[in-house]
Amino acid sequence: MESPHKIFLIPEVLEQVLVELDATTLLLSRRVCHLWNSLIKTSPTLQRTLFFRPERQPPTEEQNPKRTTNPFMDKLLKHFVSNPRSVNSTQGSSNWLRPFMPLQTTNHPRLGRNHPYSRPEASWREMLLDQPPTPSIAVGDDLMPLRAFGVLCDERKSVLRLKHLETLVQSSFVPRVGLMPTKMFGKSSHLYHA
Amino acid sequence: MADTPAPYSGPMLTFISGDGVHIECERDVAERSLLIKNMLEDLGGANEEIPIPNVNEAVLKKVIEWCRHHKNDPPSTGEEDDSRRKTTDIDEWDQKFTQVDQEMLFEIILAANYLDIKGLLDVGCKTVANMIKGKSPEEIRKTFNIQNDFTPEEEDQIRRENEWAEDR
Repeated sequence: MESPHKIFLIPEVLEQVLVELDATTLLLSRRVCHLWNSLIKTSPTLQRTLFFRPERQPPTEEQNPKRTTNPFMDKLLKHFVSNPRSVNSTQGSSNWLRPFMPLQTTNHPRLGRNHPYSRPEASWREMLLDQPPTPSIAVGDDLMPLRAFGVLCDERKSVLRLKHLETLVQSSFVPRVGLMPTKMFGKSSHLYHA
Repeated sequence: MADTPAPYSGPMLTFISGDGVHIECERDVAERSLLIKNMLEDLGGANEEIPIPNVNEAVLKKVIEWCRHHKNDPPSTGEEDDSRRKTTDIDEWDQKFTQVDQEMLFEIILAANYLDIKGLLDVGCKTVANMIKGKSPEEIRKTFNIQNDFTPEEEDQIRRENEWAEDR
């Protein structure tokens, strides 16, 4: 068998190729070989592209930065919720408001425990909701979206990841839960459960 | 921009390719390469002969062709330009330029990396990325002759972590 071209053996060049990929291809490319796998797992740039590693927060919290939503969000919400629907976002793509029905994810009849999504090692759990990461999200009732039940936010050193959202949804007794940026509710430093 | 240089009275220099061919080049074109630019600043004078031992004639000519077309591009703004990343499009001239066989494309990338020509490296890497997009790991390995060096268990572990993303 022929060997790969040298450019695939120079980590800096390979990284510059991989950073141009879409998130799905990049994530699945971990399976190509050891070099690709370890580069994708350890490169800070690639980890940021995949929403695993937080991008630097802008210096002032007051400037609501333009955030990019995790490209897997729609796909993932489909599993979180039985009836996802997007609600018109009033402030452009950087803010979202997304009501959904909570669901016992791992026990959902449509998804067995061995469904790729339900597996405990599934990598989506470590992903951030958006970049730069939202410091907190409000959990509310989608019928009265402006009434927040609670705020889920990062505690000092950690950031909000999809696993936190999963925990919240699983432990929630609220029939309808919406997620929205917390800007309108002010800051909070605690984790509330609805 | 025409391939034949407009009246140019500036300094010239001569590259000597890895296969021993002398190639003339305008100094301002050659300075698209940061390696050459820094080298010339250190050396001072013009009329230099510069050996480029690991780039052959065909590749070096392509690299110079790119530099000549892009000689008036604004200089890159440095490493921390994250907004640049989102522009996956390659301009029309560059698209034509990169329509070469795979081996030539890879050699151009290698030369751009060695000579430190950021714009050319960028175009080359984007072109390779476009060849990868949407391909499965097996297809990627096949396209680029990459050996699967995982044990079945290792590969299965990674598959289990990321299989949820496969449903495109």
